[in-house]
Amino acid sequence: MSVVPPLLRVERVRKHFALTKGILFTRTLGHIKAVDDVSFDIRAGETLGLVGESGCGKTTTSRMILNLEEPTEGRILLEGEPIHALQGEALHAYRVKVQAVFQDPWSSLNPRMKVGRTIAESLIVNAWGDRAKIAERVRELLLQVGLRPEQAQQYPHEFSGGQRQRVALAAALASRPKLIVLDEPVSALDVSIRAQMMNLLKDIQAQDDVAYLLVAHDLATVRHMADHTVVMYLGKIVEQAPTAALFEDVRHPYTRALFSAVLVARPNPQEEEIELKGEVPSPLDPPSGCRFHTRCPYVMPRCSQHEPALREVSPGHSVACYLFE
Amino acid sequence: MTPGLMGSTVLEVRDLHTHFFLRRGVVKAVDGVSFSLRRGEVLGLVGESGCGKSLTALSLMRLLPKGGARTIRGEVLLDGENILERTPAEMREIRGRRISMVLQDPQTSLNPVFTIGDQLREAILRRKRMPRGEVTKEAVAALRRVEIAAPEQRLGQYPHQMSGGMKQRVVGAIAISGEPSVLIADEPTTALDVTIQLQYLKLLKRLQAETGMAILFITHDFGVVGRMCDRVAVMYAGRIVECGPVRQIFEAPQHPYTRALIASVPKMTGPVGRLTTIEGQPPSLMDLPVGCRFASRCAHVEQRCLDAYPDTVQVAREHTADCWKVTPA
Amino acid sequence: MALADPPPRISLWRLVWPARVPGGFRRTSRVPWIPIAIISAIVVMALFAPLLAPYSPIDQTLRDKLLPPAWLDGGSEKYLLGTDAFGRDILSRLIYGARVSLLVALLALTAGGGIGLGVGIVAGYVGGAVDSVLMRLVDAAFTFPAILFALLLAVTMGQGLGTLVIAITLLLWASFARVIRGEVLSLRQRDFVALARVRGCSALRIMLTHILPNVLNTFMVLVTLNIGVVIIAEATLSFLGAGIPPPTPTWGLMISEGRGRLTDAWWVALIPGIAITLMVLSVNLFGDWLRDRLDPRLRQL
Repeated sequence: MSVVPPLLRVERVRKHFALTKGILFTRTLGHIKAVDDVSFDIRAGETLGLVGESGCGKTTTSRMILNLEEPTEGRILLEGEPIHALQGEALHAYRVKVQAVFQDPWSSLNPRMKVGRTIAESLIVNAWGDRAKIAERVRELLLQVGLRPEQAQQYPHEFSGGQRQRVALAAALASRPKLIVLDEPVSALDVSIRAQMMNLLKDIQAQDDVAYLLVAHDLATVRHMADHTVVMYLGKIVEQAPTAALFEDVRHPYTRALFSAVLVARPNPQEEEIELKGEVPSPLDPPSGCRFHTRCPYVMPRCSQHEPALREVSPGHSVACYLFE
Repeated sequence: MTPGLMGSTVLEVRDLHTHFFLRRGVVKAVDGVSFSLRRGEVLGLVGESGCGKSLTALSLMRLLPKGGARTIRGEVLLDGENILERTPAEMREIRGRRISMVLQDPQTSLNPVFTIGDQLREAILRRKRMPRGEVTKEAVAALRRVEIAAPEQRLGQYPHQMSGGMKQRVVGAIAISGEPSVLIADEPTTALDVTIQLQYLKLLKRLQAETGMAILFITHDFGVVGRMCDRVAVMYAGRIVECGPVRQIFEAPQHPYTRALIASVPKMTGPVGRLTTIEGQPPSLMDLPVGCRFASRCAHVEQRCLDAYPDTVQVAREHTADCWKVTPA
Repeated sequence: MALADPPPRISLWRLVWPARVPGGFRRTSRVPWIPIAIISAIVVMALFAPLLAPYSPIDQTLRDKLLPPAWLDGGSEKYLLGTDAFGRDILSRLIYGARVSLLVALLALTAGGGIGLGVGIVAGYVGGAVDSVLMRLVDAAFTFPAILFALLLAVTMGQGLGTLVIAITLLLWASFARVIRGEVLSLRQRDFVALARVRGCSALRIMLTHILPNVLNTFMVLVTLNIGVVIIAEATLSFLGAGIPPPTPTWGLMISEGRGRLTDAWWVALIPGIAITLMVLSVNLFGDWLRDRLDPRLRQL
């Protein structure tokens, strides 16, 4: 592994949501284990792809990194400092360094705020400079994301979905963050607009040396964007590897199923599809042992009894599965 | 697919125009769409949002959204009969029995206050009067057909007790309960996870093989097209710009829009580089150009493209494109 | 582009039970001109009362007492809407009365609406224990016998504008708080609120710059719909003697003074009664229209 300390380190993080009933005399019915013992690193200037289906915990993980949720256990460190202990000035400094772009361009912008004001917001609250300086930066940002400077005076409803996503990106870039969490940044966009946005994200990374955490369900998007990929299933990491290595050599049965479910733009590719039976079990009561064993085509007796640990199968490529021991 | 099932045309759409009449002006959302659908085939209707693909489907069902939408011209021939001329009462008989629909969001497709069983029985009883016990038996059979486990228990459940994929199966069961000859599927898997999407697409294929119904599959996803469709029609700004067998559309797309669209999809193989993009925006449907609608974004634009809309050119067997620059077969 | 026109939401059960009017034309709610005209007339009356009223509203002319409206037998052209038991011109009292009604409405809605807006935003955004405590207060306010409390207040503090406004404020704030809180709860789920936190906005800043502007539409609708409530409350309290003390004319007080003579001089009570009905009906019709225009989600109110 590299000697340079990572920009962000996620260390054995768990997030359990208590499911309660009643208002006055609350009873805990159980815990939803949204994220369960997850660790990974993001290095400066790199993109980490976080892949999985709904309920796998990828969004909860990203919300913990954004300090919108507290982990139940474990810690997240930015440049060596635990982020959930930050207060006051230090928290402000953290907010400057980590920003986000979310999936839904219609919900990401305040409909009653001019987009210029939205873009400037992080500069205003962090007292970055005087009005003229901020206005100049907003202008620069709009140009950087391919919009016109005078559009700062417009309201979100005057923009298309793709343009709104550009505004959201400009707002995330304003404070020159070191990490941007991209939660499904292109999945709500049309195919041709999607490609524009992906190119833009790559250009900006090359210019500003910003790291991305790309949360996505679409493997092709991750392949084009990410240097490193982490695959999650029901709150656990099942496989992680450098993206190129992973796409070359898929190991975990779940990852394989995910890959074979990708429909590629060519006629009738019916070759060796692994169709998973049934649906993702409830995270409220996850299966014992390996969480995937209920749907796994290669299930063995011990899979339901013990949980396989992540094990390195080749440099940088780890898999949590008994098939590879 | 048995060759015997394929062939005869079951649905033919000719020169369909559905516009929105608003105070601000006329939005020409569907503006001269023609295609035909054969028994036992899947025709993909592909395009980006706002191209008019969903409104085309709603025009066929005669379920136009409120707010000034009207079908002003064209014919929709279902088994040779123009259903645009049928009365609303006759249309209610046609919907569900001869032409049916599955929509994107299973959440809004099912009524949240009734059980799955109620909604299925309702659909079954609309076709045929029968005693209670038999209706339930049919409902169970319908759920079994869409591969829902423990159908007897599911009948008593409400939609919110089911997952998205399960609900979409129920929607499918209701849609095909009348054994329609045409099923319109409007982005039915867009809201589903990829592994669940694959299950659902396979199910649709199996059901089609059993019943021989024709499917008009509306999607924006070329991956789904490749997996599901026999033929593809590509829509842009209210018109079909290219239509042909799926293999030819992928391997030899003729219209510049189709080519650019396919090129802009991120691939699972090959080099990882910059993606091809289509610059600019589609024209406003309120103020369409006289010439080719893609001209403003086209890399090969010429004067004649701006002057007049191109004729539909037969480029190969069953393969047409609306472009001045393609060579006829 | 993209999600510019979300696909029309047509549900499958619409296939089974199709809408009565298939397709059809757009039903735009018409601008309620008549209510707007009535409201404007009353506002003008209130603003320019000294110019418009033919007589002083409190000067008594006892020899002209209990004259019926001008168009009835025995009516005098001098007094268009007749006179009351003290010979005061009813038209003049009505015009001046509009002042009191509107002033009370303005003050009580500012105070009650403002408190409700603040409580609703804080409860909805902060959530948790704060929300629980504030909402229990709201529940308590709803169970409170407001009229009784107003009477008590009048006894202890004395009658007057202040008492009246306080009493009506206490009647109003809770319903504002409840609706606004519901609105804030759904706003809080929107991504732009989470993004504002990510950018480092404080809770106070988020409430002021992101939440408040987005509930103002709802707030305006609530204000218009509650004008009627305030006018009725003012009339009720004045009628009961807990409002503005006589001889200042208010519509409620005028009804109260006329109630003993309903058999022989019905107009004394009926005319302010009609004024209240017209005003309340107009603001409600206007409020309905405004609600449909600004916020269709509030239809169930």
